[in-house]
Amino acid sequence: MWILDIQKLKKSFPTAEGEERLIVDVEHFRLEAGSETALAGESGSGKTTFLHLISGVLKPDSGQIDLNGTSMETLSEAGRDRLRAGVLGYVFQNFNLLQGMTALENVELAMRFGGGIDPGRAKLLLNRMGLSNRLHHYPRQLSMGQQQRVAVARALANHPKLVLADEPTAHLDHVRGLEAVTLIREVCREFGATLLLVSHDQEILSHFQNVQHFEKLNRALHSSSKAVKA
Amino acid sequence: MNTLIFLAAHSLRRHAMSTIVTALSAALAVGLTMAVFGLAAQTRAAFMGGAGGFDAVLGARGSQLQLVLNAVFQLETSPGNIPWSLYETIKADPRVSEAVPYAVGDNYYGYRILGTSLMVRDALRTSAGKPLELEPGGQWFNEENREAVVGSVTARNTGLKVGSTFRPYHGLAFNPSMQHEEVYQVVGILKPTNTPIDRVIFIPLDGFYRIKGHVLRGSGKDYVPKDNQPIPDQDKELSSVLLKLKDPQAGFNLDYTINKQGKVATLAWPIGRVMADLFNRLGWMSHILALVAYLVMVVAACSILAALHNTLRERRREFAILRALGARRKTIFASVITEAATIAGLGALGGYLVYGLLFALAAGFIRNQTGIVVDPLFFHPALVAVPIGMTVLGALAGIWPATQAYSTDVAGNLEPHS
Repeated sequence: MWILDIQKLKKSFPTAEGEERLIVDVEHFRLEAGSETALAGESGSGKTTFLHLISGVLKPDSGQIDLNGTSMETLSEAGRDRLRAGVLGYVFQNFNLLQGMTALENVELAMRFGGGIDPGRAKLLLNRMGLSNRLHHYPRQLSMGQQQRVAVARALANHPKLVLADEPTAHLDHVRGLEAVTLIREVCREFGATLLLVSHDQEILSHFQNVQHFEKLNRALHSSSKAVKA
Repeated sequence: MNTLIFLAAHSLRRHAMSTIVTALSAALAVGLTMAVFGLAAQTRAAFMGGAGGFDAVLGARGSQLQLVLNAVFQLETSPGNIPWSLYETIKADPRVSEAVPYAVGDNYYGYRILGTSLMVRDALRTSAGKPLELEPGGQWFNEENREAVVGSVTARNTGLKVGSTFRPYHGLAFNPSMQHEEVYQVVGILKPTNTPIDRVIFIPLDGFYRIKGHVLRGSGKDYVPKDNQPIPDQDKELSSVLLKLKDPQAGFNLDYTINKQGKVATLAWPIGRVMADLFNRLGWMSHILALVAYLVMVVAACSILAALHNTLRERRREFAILRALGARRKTIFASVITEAATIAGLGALGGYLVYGLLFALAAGFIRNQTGIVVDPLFFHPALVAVPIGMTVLGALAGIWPATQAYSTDVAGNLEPHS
């Protein structure tokens, strides 16, 4: 059973010269429910754009994205918002925690847009991340590793079917990066979520059985030699 | 907590200084606007009902308004005098229940000295409609002596107390070089009446006539009172006579007789109508004040708009994160509107405090200037409408920044790119 099924996905952006530049051109990409996949690729290869398309933050120019059995192109923007809140968990490269909210409030914030606040689950997730004594700390009062764990807890807040992790170790040292990825994999398994983790760190990628190389997947990179930022 | 309120509260906390300053400007606007409406209505009501129980004023031929302001509110110069005979006639008129004579022309440090009879003691009423009362240890003057009864504000501001003596000054405006020689003794201090009589000094009419320098022209010829000799009635004159009428029909009849048929005197009746005419004529001033107050509210709303707009740049990423977590565009829009309305709402609440302060300041000033007391608990619809209006205006001011937030590019504001 596929949790994610992508067909002929294309996305381009206008350049400063007024031309359209193709950033993502993926013919076919699938994720099996409950699997964990690493997506390897260098900076500027369009990985983040690819994740934004999967999450519905961006709308593709063409192609199909079926997420959890729902075809995203049939949904309105509000529908994509609802789907994102209910089905997806997103761990951002720089965590994207709201600075004015505590760790607990950050997790509960995601719940507000999903199935509703469940303080018990929010605390459970933070406890699982080893942050039981940091519930009421603000991001500025937490280390980078702790902030990252809050971000993981937030991604799991709404019982997601799929967790997208975009370079989750970028701000961590090597040891902590490995610990973080191990933790993300563990909790995704525990909470029954499919994991798609993006990284360019070979050490981290070596821990995944299923590694897909985005340079091969994204045909847009073959049609242009220039690095693309999107 | 509701998500919109949670997001708005979170943002307001994050920008606490901006929130406080902006809410303060809204509070000033709300307080000022409420004060403009509240004080105008209160002052109007106080002046229209401040006649101390009297229905009409009889005085020299001239302006009814001047007559009322002079005789009732102690504010204007006297339009002239009327002969004693006219007083005797009106006093004997069966349509008149009470007629209290007033003679003005002297002051003590700017506070008017009213020559009158003891009738004033029973005829005048406080703002609550109660008879006049003296502070303990006081008594009313003996009409044969140089004695005085002093209003509460006058006593407080001049330091006069029972047993004090003073020498009146000539004229209605205080001029230190025009002090009379006669010495009066204070025998009573009035309890506060919350009417203009708190600002006067009552002395016996006969004594008033006999102050050196006063020339009586009741008969058309100058007459200077002589010591130990009674003053002929034909020479006496009065500034005004306060009247209580037996019924409203009496007012119609006297108005016709004195104002339309007669040529000697003027009857200002009813006193409330005369004052209403004044306020109606000054209506444009109220409108201008209201306009200024409205503009201040608009400026406050603009400051809310500016405050929110200034935070938008740094908050775009926050909006993008919220959207990425699943927040709908309309949620972001509504949260900014809620934030704007909350700032305005906080301002509206603070406005009551500002209103209280402005009211207290203005009330003290009005009381000192006119003796009229305005009630801070007086209800005016503006006390509800203005705070609500400010909150709505604040919410409207939030539309532009909310629209900006609504249209935040999610992918473009989620750092970093790869």
